[in-house]
Amino acid sequence: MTQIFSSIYKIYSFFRRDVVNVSSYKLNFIFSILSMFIFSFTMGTLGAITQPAQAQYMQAYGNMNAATFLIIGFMLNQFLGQSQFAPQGIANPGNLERILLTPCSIPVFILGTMSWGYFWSSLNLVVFIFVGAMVFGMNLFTVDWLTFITILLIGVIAMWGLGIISAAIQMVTKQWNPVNWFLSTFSFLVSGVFFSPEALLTVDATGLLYRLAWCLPHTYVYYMARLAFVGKSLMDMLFPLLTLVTMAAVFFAIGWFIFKLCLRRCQLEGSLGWV
Amino acid sequence: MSEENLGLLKFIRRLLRKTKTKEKILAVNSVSFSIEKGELFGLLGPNGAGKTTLVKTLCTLLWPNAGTAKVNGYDIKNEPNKVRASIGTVLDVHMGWYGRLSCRQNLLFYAQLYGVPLSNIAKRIRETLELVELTEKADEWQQKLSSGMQRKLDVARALLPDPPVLLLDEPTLQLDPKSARDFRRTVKDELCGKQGKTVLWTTHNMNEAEEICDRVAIMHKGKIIAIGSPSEVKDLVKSRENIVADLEKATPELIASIKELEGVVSIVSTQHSPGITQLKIEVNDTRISPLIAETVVRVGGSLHSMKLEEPTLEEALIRLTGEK
Repeated sequence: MTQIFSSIYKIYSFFRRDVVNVSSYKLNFIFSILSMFIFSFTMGTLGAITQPAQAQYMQAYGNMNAATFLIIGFMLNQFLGQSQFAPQGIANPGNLERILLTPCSIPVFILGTMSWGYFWSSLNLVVFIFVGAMVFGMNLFTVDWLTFITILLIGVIAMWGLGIISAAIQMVTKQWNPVNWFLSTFSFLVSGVFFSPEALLTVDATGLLYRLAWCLPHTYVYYMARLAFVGKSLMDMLFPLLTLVTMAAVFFAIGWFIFKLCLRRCQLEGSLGWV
Repeated sequence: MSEENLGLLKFIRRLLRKTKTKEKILAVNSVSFSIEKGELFGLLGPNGAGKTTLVKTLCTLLWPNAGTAKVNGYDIKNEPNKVRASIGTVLDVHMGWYGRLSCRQNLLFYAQLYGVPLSNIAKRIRETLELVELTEKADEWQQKLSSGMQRKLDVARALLPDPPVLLLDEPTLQLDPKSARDFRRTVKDELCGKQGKTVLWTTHNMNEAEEICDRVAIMHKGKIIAIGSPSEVKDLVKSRENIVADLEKATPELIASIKELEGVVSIVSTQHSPGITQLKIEVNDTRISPLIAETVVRVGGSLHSMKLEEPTLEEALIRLTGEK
């Protein structure tokens, strides 16, 4: 029990450090919050304008309006992006070497490093939902919040796995990061941030992009989270749920294994502090 | 394929190609030594000798390919967390600082990571800042400190958890002479003397090692080639001593004649004052000094003075490592 409290306290230390650091850039802090409102408004507006074109694909999502569709897509994209890119921060040479000199465990280090990012992304989520509900007719009474949060958490674990694989590769190669590049670029195109993956079939008759979309965990998170917004529960989407859980388990296990392997390799060859 | 596409292809291939040729280097090889509790142990050696690698291995940042070590009784391979909880480390570069946090806030963060008890954190931060003379800068942003002060902050961080063992890699690097001297005295008298901490101190500065270390080890090409108290290490090279001679008219012929004498190893000549040249003659046997005096007179020189000089630790290092 003491160990758990000690770990939580250490994670809080990371969070506190980042709060002090970020709040020292006062103007940037204020404008970043302003940006959240502007982005959510932009997405809502884009959704409202493209409503006629998107309508045919909205049946699969309980006929939600396109503005809600886009707002959910974009806010989740930022949240998942945080999960995917945060592990890179832990592979930062100066950071990693120094923290490894303390008795802080690696999981605590990873969670601590990411804690501020999650707080910020959660705030972003709240702003998007607020603007969606207030301006663009997002119906919050139909949302199955438990399902939404569960999907989000499973998605986060899947993204951590991918992010950790990516960070581990970068730790060894000390250069360009192919995993994150692929995921961030392709998921934006195919996973359903701005439009349903079904819409891809109108431009790609081979169906290759559509099939690629369902190989990425992002697609399942966007799909199921939107269904949660129209009141579907976890039991209503068992197949995609099981697929996402499997992906999360596999990616996380592989990520952790590769991270340990790469860390040991860097410790052996003495390249931990290299940039 | 167009030329433009060929160019792009080449660019991608170059990007994907392994850019660093990794040459395997045995940085530390078959090193074995022990340090007593409360001892201040100096690790000396030229650049690339393996000192930093050894320190990084002892603090568990590097993983040895073979062999192991114990720090404060804990095995670095099997009990790395216990090792980390026992040590305070200052590495050769400033790392892990947050520029827009004050010195106090930075130290608070590390104190929490080190698991310093909550009730004790403020006191430890105050004590360590006092010890490194940074109390006045406690609430300034870390990035505003000079490099010497940042070095002091590195030391303060290492001392935060009040560890029984300190691994200090070039701790006085970037400190001004007075701060360096004060810090040496603090480590020697306060940390080792009064608090009984065990210190491993790496340095290039031989005077520093000679001044404070109880024992020193000289590393060269990854191996320890001499170990003992500073005087014992100097004794190792005492078979060769220096004769320092001040003379007039030190012509090249005169120097060559001395060099030809049996027992003379090397001569370093410097212009001491107008008309006076100082020769530092390294000899195997000091009994040849009358012969040297005789040679100077015979070749037309004029001897002002001649004395025997004890080798310094620096000379011991140079001779033992064979570095010029």
